[in-house]
Amino acid sequence: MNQSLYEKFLSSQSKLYRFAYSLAKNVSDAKDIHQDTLIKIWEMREQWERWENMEAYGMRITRNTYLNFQKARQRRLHLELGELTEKPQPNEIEKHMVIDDLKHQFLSMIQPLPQLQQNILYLREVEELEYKEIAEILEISASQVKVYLFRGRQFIKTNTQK
Amino acid sequence: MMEAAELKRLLEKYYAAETTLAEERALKQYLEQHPAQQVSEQPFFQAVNEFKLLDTPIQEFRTSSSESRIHRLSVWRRTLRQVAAVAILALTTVAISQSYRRYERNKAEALLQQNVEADLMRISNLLNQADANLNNAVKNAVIPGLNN
Repeated sequence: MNQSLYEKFLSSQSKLYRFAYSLAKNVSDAKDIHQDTLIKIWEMREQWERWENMEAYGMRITRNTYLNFQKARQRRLHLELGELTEKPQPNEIEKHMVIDDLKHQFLSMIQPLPQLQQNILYLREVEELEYKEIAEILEISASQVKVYLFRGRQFIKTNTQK
Repeated sequence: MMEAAELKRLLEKYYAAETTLAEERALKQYLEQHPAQQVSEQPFFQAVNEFKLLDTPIQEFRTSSSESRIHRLSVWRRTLRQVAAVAILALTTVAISQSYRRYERNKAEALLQQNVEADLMRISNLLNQADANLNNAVKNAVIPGLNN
């Protein structure tokens, strides 16, 4: 295995954890997502040399792991509430999520935004990524990234100027 | 120092999502270094910077399957495993010592056989020598007498 790629893998861990945390918004879930992500990346180590941007790829895996995590939680919740409702609504799922760390001002500021806009704001403001990289991670087009970033920043502007 | 008009222009561009990463960095850096500017964006940029400091907590990487296996082992099972481990260790020691003794015995037997073979060879050489001496004596003393 290429030594520099291994060092890149090690150095990207903090960024991946931060991203997992911004998605899950609590330490416990973020740790689980982060661990699963690292295992997945490690299992794909034979392909590392073919990846153009390891960090971006790692972030995409983090997001997909989070989405799978959410789906599993949704299924569990559906089973638990199955007798009462046909299908749990998204806001109902959020009620069951442990959002224990909104002490982070940044997360509480972007919390009212839709998930995708939160992700874009995070990747641009905190990780300082280009539109193309954000588009690659979130599997949308660069122009969509720009539109959502515009909306997210407009929200921030409105709320900070109150 | 950045002029107020330039700052306003950059902020407008920032909200329109038209700024480059370099411009955004410069804007944030300027506002960080000049908190007296009193722009309403300060708290947001401060929150972004604070969040950047969030690092990976130290955690144990243990798979859920191995964890559950550890929990499932009862006391008697653990004792049974320890007894089995001691028995395997004892049997292995006995087998090794027996094997060593057999090796030593084989070595002694081989040495003995080698000595016997050497002695036999020496006897055979002596017999050959005696035979040759006898032939010479016959050739030198008996055959000329018979001829006369």
